[in-house]
Amino acid sequence: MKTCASCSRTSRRDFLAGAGAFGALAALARRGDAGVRVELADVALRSTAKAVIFVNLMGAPSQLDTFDPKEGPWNPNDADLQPLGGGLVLSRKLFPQLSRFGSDLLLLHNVSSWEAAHERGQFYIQTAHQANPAFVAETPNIGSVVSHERTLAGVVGKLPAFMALDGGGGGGIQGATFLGGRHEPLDAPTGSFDTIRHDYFGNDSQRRFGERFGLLKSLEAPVVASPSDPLLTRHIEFYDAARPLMYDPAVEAVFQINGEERSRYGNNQFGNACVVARNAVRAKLGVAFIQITNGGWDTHQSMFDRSSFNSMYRLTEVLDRGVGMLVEDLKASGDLAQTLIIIMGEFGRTPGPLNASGGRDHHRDVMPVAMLGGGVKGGRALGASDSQGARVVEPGWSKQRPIFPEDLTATIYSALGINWTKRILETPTGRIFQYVDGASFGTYTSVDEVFG
Amino acid sequence: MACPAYPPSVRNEWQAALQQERLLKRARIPGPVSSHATETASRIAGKAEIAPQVPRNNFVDDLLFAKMEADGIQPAPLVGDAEFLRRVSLDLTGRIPAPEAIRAFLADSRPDKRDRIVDDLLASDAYVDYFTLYFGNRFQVTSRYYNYIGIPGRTLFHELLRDFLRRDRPFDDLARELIAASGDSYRVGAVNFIVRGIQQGDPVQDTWDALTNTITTQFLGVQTQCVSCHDGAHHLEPINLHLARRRRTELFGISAFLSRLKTTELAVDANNQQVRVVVADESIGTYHGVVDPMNPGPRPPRIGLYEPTYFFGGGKPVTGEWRKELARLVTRDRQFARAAVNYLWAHFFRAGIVDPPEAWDMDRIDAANPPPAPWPLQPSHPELLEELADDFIRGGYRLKPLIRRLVTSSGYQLSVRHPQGPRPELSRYFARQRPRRLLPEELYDALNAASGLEVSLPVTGGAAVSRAVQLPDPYEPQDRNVHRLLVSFGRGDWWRTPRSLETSVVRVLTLMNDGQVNQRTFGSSQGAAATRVARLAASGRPERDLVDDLFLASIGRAPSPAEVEVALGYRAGRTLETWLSDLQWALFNKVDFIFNQ
Repeated sequence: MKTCASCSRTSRRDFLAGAGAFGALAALARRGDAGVRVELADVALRSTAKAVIFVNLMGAPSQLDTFDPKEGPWNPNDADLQPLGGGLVLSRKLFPQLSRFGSDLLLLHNVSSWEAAHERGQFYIQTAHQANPAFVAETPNIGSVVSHERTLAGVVGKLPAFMALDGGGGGGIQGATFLGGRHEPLDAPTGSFDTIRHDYFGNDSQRRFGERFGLLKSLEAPVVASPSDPLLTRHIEFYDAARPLMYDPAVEAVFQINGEERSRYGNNQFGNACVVARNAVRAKLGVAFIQITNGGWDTHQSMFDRSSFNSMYRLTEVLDRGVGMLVEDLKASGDLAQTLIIIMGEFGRTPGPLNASGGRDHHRDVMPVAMLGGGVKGGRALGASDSQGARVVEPGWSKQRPIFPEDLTATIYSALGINWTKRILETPTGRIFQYVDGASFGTYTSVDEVFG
Repeated sequence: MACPAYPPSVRNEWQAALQQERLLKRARIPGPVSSHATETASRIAGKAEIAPQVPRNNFVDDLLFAKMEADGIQPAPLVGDAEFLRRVSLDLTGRIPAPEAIRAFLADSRPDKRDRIVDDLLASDAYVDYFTLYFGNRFQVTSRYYNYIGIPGRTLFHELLRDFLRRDRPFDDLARELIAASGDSYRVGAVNFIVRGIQQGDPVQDTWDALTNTITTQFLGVQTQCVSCHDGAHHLEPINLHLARRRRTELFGISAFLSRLKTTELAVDANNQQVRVVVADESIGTYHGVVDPMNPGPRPPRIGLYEPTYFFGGGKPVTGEWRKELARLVTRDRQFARAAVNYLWAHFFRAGIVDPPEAWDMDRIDAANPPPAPWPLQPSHPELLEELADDFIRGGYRLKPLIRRLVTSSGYQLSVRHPQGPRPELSRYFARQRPRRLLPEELYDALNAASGLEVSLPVTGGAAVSRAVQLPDPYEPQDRNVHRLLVSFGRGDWWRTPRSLETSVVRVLTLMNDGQVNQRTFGSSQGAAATRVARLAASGRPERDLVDDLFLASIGRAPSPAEVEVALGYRAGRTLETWLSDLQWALFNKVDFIFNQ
């Protein structure tokens, strides 16, 4: 069990005070936003990605039946495990699309998780912090941190930097907490994003909306000119932030899916989410972190029973087709090189043979992770687990231990050019928020081996 | 040198206090008040000279204004009648007042009309609805808590809260009923308070500790969960002086009162996994650290045996019924009364006298025994807090007299707009009121009320309700569109997703563009015949009247001259219906609608 890392360590590193960079943004300063004091260490950032797509497989997929397959009696007869070079092996039955992108694909066989419970695990992979009820209200989503950093860097587009897409069966998303409403995820429905549209007047809608919006601004002008309370002005500011999203063909196009795409991506909610993610990346409207959730991976039973709704056949068919087409399309448009895709759940599943119900139960010590794009060097597997998929036996990187989701988060930050050692020294309750729990003190670090 | 893991918030708080003093000296307003007036003198004088037009209605005012006077702080003026009516209607019932009610109130010439309205609202069913929701948000007994509670449990608990409020039962009675609840969760509502604390899949001690934390937080205003994992030392020094010197083993002591808890899960039916829980108590046993080695849980190991010892003062049980004994110790603790009044104060005044209300620092509350410099005394008004607590106890721990005291004070009725602007240092004096965003349920109900639409919201296992504030948990209503809208306004789920009233791009887009919001702005040409827009368009009344009506119905006040000018100016070149519809839309998106000011 992890002890409170902040309490038991004193750092002997030299910290650069990053305070100076934030003075200019004092105008945006509010409770917990830019303008608060930070500390960070001098680390090399890879800055290879403009955007990250985090495919969150809720429920915790089995490593042996996804990205760390091994020969063994537990495999179904049609598994068709194929080596793709560099230590990569995939079931061609379950992952026909991803198998085509072997040279881009990096499979991590050396990742462990600290959690074995779903809610705690989900919180953990969404925030790179241990689920602690005392701090939940002040632990923002990784995506919100990315959005915050993008704002600090002045890299802001029409769309919020953090987008959350529900690819079916998803659960809760941790929000921006103290970083503020500006960094909440754009929780865009993948069916159709109705609320960017005000189309109650047919072809006349844009004009009508423009007029009523103007009326609203006129009526609010006295409040803006002489605010009685900052809460009110802050609220009004969001209207100005939201307005540009409307009636903008470029923004609309991000959320539109035509019939051909829908069908090519698998004709399901996850595929639709992948189309929107692709569009968001290509549109370059400021989206820097997209989380796509896909549920059903908690396969305690009937994994290879085709009649079961959550059989591996169905789950991987949806995943493989959606991500496969996403990768194909991003490659075609030249965007893959700057888009880091990471696919993982919150922990792994029991190794070796299946359980008595034909499934697998929770297992922390080995969990499946796949990465592509955004500077990732593909065509290989990193590290190794044992023949049963039970323990990491070859760390495969500079540290003599498995990789943890904290390290993966640091890696993502590094790819985005964000200093993962940063910590905000004053949350609203006066605590410290480390971007990655333990990374300020060097416990966890970016996995440079991912980049080659 | 401070431990680098903690911010120097101690120094910050000291500097903030010094800064505040400097600002106050500059803010001191010359006036009829003698600059030599001492705090004692002004308290003896009773009727302070600052802002003499603000009447002192009760001891709340006496103490609030005495402190302002002593430090030269000017209060904001009293809020106008229309604003008062909207504010108090929302804060007591979660409803906005109808135009007829506003007009009647404005025309009422009785000098005690504000007090009368308060009495009317307190006597209404709407008060019961709203404060049931308020306590629902505090206890969070939801039908979907794991596979426990379910619809029957939730419904019974909801009815218990309603009954508590309808009869204005003593709050200490309710607390004892909840803490010591026994029986079948599908038969006894109070038992669901206990079931809501069960930590499924974790060691039983985690359940004891979690329930202890809920009890100390909700009934004493002290979150003890920090010290359920570790001693306060080296963790809490910058945060809470009292807890910083308390030990984990002392938390085990109070948690031991829960250690005889016996919970039995019974399947509800063979097919689904829902269970009901029978809660009882063993007659033997005490707090221990024995766990299943395959499932030791997320907390550090617990070593030893611990007898029940009340965390605040060391009280021991006198019988073997430990939960009942804990209930007795908690409700007889003066802190119970303090915390209760402070929570309610925080609802009406947007911040507690001790704020946040779940973060009491018991070493910083006694004015006669102040904490070591540079720590300030935690309550902004320690004497007021003690008087409110006394008043609450004398009133038999009933909520209505306390609420009445708070809401009929002038302090509650001050304007949000302060002549010196929204300066942060004014907050500690409650020298101005603060706006709050409407709750998701209030917002949805206000959309309907303003537009004059009636809705029927289906509730699982019960009769449909007509207002969102009446919904018994965040999984209702069984109308997906309404549910989605409430969630998008930040409702949370009483479990994994907290309530959030923060503004965001998506929330604002919803307010502007969502279909349900916009339907309430439609006129007859868009298929709506029953909306206010449709009725006003068909009424034939003068246009100036229509503007007044829309403003009153939506934001509870008449338009200002500038607003009238904008509204009437917008009429030109548009159809009557377009004009009214746009005006209604703008009003729904105006801060005056979305916030309670």
